[in-house]
Amino acid sequence: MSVLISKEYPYTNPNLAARKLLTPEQLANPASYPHLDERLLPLRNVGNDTKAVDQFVKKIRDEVGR
Amino acid sequence: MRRRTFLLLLSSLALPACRAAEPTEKVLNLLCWTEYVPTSVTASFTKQTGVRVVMENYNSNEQMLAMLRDKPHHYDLVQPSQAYVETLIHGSGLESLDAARIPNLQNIDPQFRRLPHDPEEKYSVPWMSGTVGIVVNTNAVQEPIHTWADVFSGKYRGKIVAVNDQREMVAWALASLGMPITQIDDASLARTEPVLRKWLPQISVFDSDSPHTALLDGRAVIGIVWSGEAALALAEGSPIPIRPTQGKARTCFSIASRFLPVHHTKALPRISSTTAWSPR
Repeated sequence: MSVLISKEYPYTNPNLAARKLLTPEQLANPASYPHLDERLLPLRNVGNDTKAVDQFVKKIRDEVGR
Repeated sequence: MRRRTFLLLLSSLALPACRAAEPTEKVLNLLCWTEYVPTSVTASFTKQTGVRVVMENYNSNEQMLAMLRDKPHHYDLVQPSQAYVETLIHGSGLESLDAARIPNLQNIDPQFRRLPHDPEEKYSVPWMSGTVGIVVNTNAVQEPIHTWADVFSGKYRGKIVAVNDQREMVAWALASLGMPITQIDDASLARTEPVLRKWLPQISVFDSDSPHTALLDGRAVIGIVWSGEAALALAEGSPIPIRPTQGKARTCFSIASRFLPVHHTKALPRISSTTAWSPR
């Protein structure tokens, strides 16, 4: 079942048993299985600030017509 | 083997929460991302369990929260990005899982287990993980694209597709400024404003559902897209040499998501999406 998911929506599959059944081509897709490095920093929960972000960006988008 | 693995996992989560729409029919109300749960999977689940799956979709975590608010006590399983799992836990919106009924959790890569948003793994299990990154049609873009400045230099105005997610747009702008992408306050937003005013008019397509389509049909030559969408572009795009950018240009946002039951819905806070990573 998990292979079906990877076939249709090729995100990084965290199921190691499923990964054994993926094709070499699937596993070699650099978008599905990228080499993450130290420059990649986690975005954490920012609480209610998300609402402020939404309003902030939407205002800019309205003003620039996007 | 794997088929059984996933079905056990899903059914273990789903069956206790199923509700009877009719005396003889059990229904699982599933709230999940668009382009994330194949109908082949839900059909197989129904075939093996007899439980009909009613799936509703969203294309942002914000929309998901709104749908939960609109239909309290309706959904059995929901699939938030992991930071939003934390939101739902704090909002007391989740029923805890019985780990004893999810034996196939042992198949999950340890790096995806017991993460900070749910350290005791009481409320969520991994579904998929992903990133947001930059992909380039190298037929149309010969120069190397290494930075956000490269993407938004102006040369590709009207030829850029991006996921339609405000929180991530701000994160990209913060990253381009060398600022922490989780630093959200009036001062940091003010710093991003001129950046976003320059960038946003250059984006021709905002699409969180199927952004790779714009790359394949030529509406865009650069995409800032979910990794699964980038993978589809790579797989389907041949001979279009779309490639993910490497090194400094790669900006990755995890959309590691979780299936988890929603038992009751109080007024839920709005919280940021995703675990995300971003380069300088």
